[in-house]
Amino acid sequence: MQILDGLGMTLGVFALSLILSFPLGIVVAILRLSKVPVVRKITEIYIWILRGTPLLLQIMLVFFGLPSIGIAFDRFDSILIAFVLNYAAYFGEIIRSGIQSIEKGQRESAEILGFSSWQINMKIILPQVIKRTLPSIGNEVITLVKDTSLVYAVGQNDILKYAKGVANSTGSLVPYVLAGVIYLVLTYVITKVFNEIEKKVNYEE
Amino acid sequence: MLLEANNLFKAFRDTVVLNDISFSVNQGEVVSLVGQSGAGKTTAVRCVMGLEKCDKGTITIHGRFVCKTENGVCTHATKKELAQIRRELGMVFQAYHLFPHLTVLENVTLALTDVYKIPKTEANEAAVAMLERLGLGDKINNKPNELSGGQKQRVAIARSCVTNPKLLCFDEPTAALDSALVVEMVNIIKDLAKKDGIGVLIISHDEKFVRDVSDRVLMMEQGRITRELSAEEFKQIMRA
Repeated sequence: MQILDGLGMTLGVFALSLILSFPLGIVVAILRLSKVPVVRKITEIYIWILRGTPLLLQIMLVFFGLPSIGIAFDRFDSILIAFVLNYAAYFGEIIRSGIQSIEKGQRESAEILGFSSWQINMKIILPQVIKRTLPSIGNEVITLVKDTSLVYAVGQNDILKYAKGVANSTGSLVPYVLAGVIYLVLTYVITKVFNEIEKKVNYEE
Repeated sequence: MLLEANNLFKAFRDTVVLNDISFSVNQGEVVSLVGQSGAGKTTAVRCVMGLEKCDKGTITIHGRFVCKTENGVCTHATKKELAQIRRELGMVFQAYHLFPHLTVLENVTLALTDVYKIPKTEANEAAVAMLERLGLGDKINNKPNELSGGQKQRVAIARSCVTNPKLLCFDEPTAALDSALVVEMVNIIKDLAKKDGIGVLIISHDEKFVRDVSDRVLMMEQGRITRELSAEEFKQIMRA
């Protein structure tokens, strides 16, 4: 059961990436819709780069590349930085599409009631955006679980890395099957959690 | 004078939507803007609400400027000034725009607690009283989608009126109502005007409704107000 030793790494990268990248994704969405053209353009470029290159490459660039310009992070932090920046770009685009799907009248009626822009975004727009984008967000979260296997690139030991080690030394495929089962259990739990959240925020529009 | 709008001009690109219109609304008075779609009624009201900026003209609400034109230069209220002015305004949109994720009660209390910083229990009391007055006492815990069109509209009215506005605007309030509900809407609006002294500005092309509800009728055509009629005069025109 050596594989389980890697579970902590897998879950750690998953949980921290999710907790940090989702709020950052909201910020990315808001900047992407900014009235200031420069802000909008910079955000577009950020999204283009982060979505347009492999996450594996981004992890390696942060860990192996940044030290060459004098910025060094340890292995785990490098992984986290790459994951958070990458997933924030994806979440940002999902949330942006959600914000744009809310009809203009919601904002206008709230404005006349006297709410500030911040209040309108937080209390009126965002709850509706989350409801509308929940299925897409669920997809990303499941992808995130599986992407955690990329940590091997900078020598971190997750479930898959341990499975590989055991498989190599015993010549058996069972460790790989076991790793697969663990991923399935994790994604099953996530699916259930999202189903529950969807039920909770379910209202007809 | 509660609302005064003078010499408003507004064009979207090459299309002139408001072409030198002036109108006013007194306290407790119900004024209707009638005319075909495209006549500029909605744009006029949106300018009053600060949702649209007119190109030229002066609008005052209770002495405060939404915009003013001096020596040909039109300046608009700042965000802060507009927020202050909007404390006196309410608007019931044609599509109501209730907040779908909140209950009826929360729809009505949210501005009280978050904008006016009124304690929750007090806000709830005020909201329930308003909803009861509009016959929605048994719907306070429903979500908007569980209501009929007429009920949604009354929630929108409650949401606008609970903050005690001095000027209330309605965009096509009878567009989605059957004839029995139109009568009810006439009574609700008259009640708000006479009992609470609210000035009401209505956009409508429902002539019967306008006849029954208005103190004054402004007829619009192609961005101009072509006739201004008292309720009596409007009735006579309708008979003819």
